[in-house]
This record gives sequence, structure tokens and C-alpha cells, in this order.
Amino acid sequence: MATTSQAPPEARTSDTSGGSRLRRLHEAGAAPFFVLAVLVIAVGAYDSSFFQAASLISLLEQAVPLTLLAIGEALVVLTGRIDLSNAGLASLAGVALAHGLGSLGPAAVALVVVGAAACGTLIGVIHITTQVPSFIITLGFLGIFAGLSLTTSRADSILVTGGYDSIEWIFYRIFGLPISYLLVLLVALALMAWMKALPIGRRIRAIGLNERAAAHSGIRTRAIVIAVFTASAGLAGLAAVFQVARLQSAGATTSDTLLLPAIAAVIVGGTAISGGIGGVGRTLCGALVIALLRVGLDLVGVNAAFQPILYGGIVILAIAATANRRRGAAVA
Amino acid sequence: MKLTLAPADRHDPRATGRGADKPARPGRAALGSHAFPTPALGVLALIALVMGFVNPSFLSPGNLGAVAEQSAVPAVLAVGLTFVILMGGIDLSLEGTMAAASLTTALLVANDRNTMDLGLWAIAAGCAVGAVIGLVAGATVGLLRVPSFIVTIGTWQIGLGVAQLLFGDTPPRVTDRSFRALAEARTAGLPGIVWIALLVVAIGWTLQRYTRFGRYAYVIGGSEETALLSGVPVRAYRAASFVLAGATAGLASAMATARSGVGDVGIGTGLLFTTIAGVVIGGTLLTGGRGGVMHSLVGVVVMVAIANAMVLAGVSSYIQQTVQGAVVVTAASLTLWRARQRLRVIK
Repeated sequence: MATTSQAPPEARTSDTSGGSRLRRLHEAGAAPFFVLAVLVIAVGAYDSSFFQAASLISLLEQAVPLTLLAIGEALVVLTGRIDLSNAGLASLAGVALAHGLGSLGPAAVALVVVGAAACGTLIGVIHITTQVPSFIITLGFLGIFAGLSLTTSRADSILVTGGYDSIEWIFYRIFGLPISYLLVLLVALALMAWMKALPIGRRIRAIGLNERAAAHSGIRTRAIVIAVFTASAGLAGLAAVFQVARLQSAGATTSDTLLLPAIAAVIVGGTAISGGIGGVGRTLCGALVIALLRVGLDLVGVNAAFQPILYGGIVILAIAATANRRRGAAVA
Repeated sequence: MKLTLAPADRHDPRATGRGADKPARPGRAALGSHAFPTPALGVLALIALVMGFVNPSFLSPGNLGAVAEQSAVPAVLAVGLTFVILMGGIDLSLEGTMAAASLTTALLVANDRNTMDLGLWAIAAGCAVGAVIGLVAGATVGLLRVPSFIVTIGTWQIGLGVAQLLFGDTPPRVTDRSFRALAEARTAGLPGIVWIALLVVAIGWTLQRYTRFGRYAYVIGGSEETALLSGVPVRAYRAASFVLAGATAGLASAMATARSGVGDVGIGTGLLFTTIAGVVIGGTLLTGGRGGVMHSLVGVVVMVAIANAMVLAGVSSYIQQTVQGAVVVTAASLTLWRARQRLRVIK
């Protein structure tokens, strides 16, 4: 967080014992897939109609905004930082889109995504130049975005009437597959390929593992951090487009409740909150776990009030289980 | 600058005592040091000055009383939060803790949902609920060494969930007269909750100045490594700060419930920003080690005065959260500006 840890991360000992294959699987991010599989089987065993195509597809469609927010959050968390403002930004972008669709049509979509990304650039630049911890800056911007979306929507939900046809197709299905989730997969695959093929993926991880060493090796850490916040905010803008397309309306707090589920998805997916370890693909999986939990709890008939308790508990437990408790590193 | 000096002069005797080794300008020495929330008082004076022109009714005794009443709840919140922030942590769970404590309190005094009637003991129960939620956060942060902002986001949601469970279908309406009187009956012109808030601030100030807990809070916030090497049980003190913050959030929630008369899941909505913005603008560093309870009190009054002035000046109340968010960003940037270095790693 606000503190510097100068000790290098412990070198991973590659032991040749029987556990090495398991470890390699673990490091490749197998745990979230395993959790996902267990959850799918458990929900399916409880209610076999879950395996019908219709319910699986609606699960995927429900997971779309959460997944986009979680992927953006994962990029920020990979550098060891956090973005508390992305869900609030998605709400604001949704309100802006609902206002703009009528007069601007499809151009409003591009404007909103670019505008959201610009907000992220602003956050990144402020964070880098003032050297204030990211959670404070993004917390402040959460307040700014929340106030702005309340003001622009006058605390009322806005029904999209004109220009809805320019985004309505997002929730159509081709050959029974939801276009929305295919688009999310496309975004995720593009990001994964980008992280894998270009040096930026390794640079982002290097910043998360040891920022000082990364800077001394000639990596432009500040530019990359700004880029990461920009990407997170841009994805939040995209999530807003999907939300508006799904609900055909936008409210001042529509996406606000996704903040904790998105963070939970990142952590459940196996991205370390201290940075450096994790990735986009496993976050996709973590988001499905969280979405499935929600559906599963509804199916089993658990009181909806238990959901926030569960998310809170999951976040605390998952972080406690994966936190890097190096001696001497200050944690506040 | 004259204006900022005016309120400080009243405190000159104390300042002289502390700055005895600088006999030349004792008053100025105290103002320049961080022991005194000079910038926040300056902002307060500026607001008063501007509002004197825009809408003179801001300075009327009635409105000043209203500002005091509106400040009571966030001031109590700020006392607990100050110790957490002094140690370099943060507690984002205030709103969730308040929700759980509000429902608990409302369901334990005489109400229209059940037959409980604990009277004022329900306030202690509300504090206890807050303290337990604080303990969960404090134990996780202290023992498991997890960053506090993420743990307290978790406990925020846990508190909200508990409150929703207790809420059920209908809001519990408080029928207990003596409990409502805390907010309604006036002593010496001010409602009871203002006096409670002042008492809590006094206790917080005593804790900060005269107890080991308070002194160690500065040590831990200044340098945790040094504190650890000096044998300070950092984890226990840090956990204690979260318990204290939870307990004060519980008390603040009971006070807010007495004001509204209904147990409400959304009772703390917006207060997180008011309180954090107040603590920051008061001059308490978010990285810890500097600031204090009095700083936070002044900061909270500044934030409430800004909100009040905006209403009086006819600005939409929806924009308030934007202003508070901007204050958090600006004040944090300004107070931490001088600590910037090349190649400094801040996450």
C-alpha cells in the first residue's frame, strides 16, 4: 500500500519432487478453474435444469459487466495498485450514454468509452505526479463520479428511447450463443495475446513484483501505470455500454454494487493483491465463479442479504490465504 | 492570512507553553507546526467570510446550531477513524458498520417490530456490534497482515448484509421517548447528541495525548519498522485502533438513529466521504504519523460547513459527493506533496 518493500521477492525454488507438477498447474492458475468446475457440478446437482442451454447462456449474459470490470481491475492489481473508482465510473458512463444515445447514436458509444478512458488517464496522472496511494485517489474519484452521476441523472433512472437500436444487438444471440459474452471473450483474448506477445505484459508484472527494480532496469514504470489505469477505466466505460444495452435504462447507482464483486473476482481468480502474479484469463474464470455463486445462492433459496456477507467473507479469506506475509514488510 | 490568525490567538497560552524554546514568535511557531490545524481553520474562516456576503443567514445562531448538530455524527466517526489513520491504516467500513449498529439499536430500544425495551443500554449494544465488526477487520489486518483498505471493504459489505438481515421487510420505528430525546431535547441550546460528540472528542483527545495507545499511534504511523524494532506490539495496537473505530461508528450510528427515529440500512450513506474528507482536510496524513483528534474535529466541521453553505447558496445537493471527493483528492495531494521523491514507490 503506502509503504515500500525493498526486499526482493523470494526466488521460486523449482523442486523436482512429486509436487512440482501440481505446483506448475497451480502457478498456471488451475485453482480458479477447479473451483469453477466444483461450483458448476454442485449447482447442477442441486438443480439439473441448470445444465440447460438457456440458463447457462443467461448466466454468461449476467456475468458480462462484472467480467469487464474485473478484467480492468486485474490489470491495475497486477501492478500492485487498486482502482476503487471503476464501478462508480461505469455508473456515470451509463448515465452519460443514456443521455447521448438519442442525439448522437452509435457515436455516443465511442465517446463514452473514450471519455471513460480519459478519466482513467487523469486518475493515473494524478496518482503518479502526486505520489498519493492509489486507493485514496480512486476513493476520491469514486465520490466525484458518484456525485456527477447523481447530478446528471437527477437521482432518477433514465429510460433509453431514441437510438437504442444502435446497441440493442449486443444482447442478441447468434446460433444460440450470446453476442455479448463473445465480445467479452474477444476483449479478454485480445488482452491476453497483448500481454503475452508484447513486452508490456512482462513489464506490468515486473512493476508488481518489484517496482524499484523495474524502474532501474529501464522500464517506464510511470507510463505503464498510467496506461493500466486508462485501460481499467476504458473497460469500465465498455461495461457501462453493456449495462445500458441489457437494461435499456441507466441509473445513478446501477453499477456501484459491482465494486466488491469485481474485486472478489480478481482475487478469487488468483491474482495476488500485492501485484505481479495473475492475469486476465484467470480473472475471466474468477468472474464466472462470482456470477455462478450469485445464481447458485438464488437457486438454493438463500436470503439475498447473505450475498454481501458472503462476498465480504470471500474477499477477506481469499486475501488472507494468498497474502505475501514477508517479515518486515509493513502492512497498514 | 489575518483571518487565519484570529482564531488561533485564543489558544496562545498553550502554544507559548509548547514553543518555549523559540521565544521570538511563539504564536507563529505553533501555527507553522503541525500541532495545530491552521489550514483547516483558515478554510473555515474563508467559508464564513464568503458566506457572510452570499447569504448572511449562514452566520445566524440558528444555522450555526444546525451546523453543530449536523457535525455531531461525523465528528464521533472521525475520532475513531483518526487513530486508524494515524497508524497508517484506513477504515472504509464505516457505512456498513453504521448500518448494522443502527438496526441493532433500533431493534433493542422500544420499537414497533418487537417487544424489546433496553432503553439507553441499546446504545452500548450498538457500540458492541460496531466493535465486533472492527475486531474482525483489526484481527485480519493485525494478525494476517492484509492491507486494511481491502479488508474494510469486506467488512463494509458484511455489515451491510447483517443490517439487511435484521431489516427484514419493514423498517423498525423507534418509539422510545428517552432515546429520541437524545437528539430532540436541548441542553443549553444544543441537542444532546452535540454534547455526546463533544464528550467523545474530549475522550479521544485524552486518549491521544495521555495514554500509551495514543502515543504509540504516532510512533507506528511515523515508522512501523522503528516501532517493531523498539518492541511496540504493533499488531495489537493496530487491531485496537480498528476496534475503537468500530465502536465509535456504532455510537455515531445510535446517535443518527436517535435523530431519524428509524433503523435504516442507509443510515451512513455519504458519511464515509464526509469523515475521510474531514480527517484529511484537518491535516492528518493518510500515510500516518501526523495529525490528531482535534485536527479531525476541525476538518469535519469544515466539511459540514461546506455542505451547509452549498445548500444555503442554492447549489444542488447531489453535487456534494463530488465536492467531497475532490476535497479528498486535493487535500491528500497537497499534504503529501512535499514527501515526493524521484523513484519513490507508492502503490
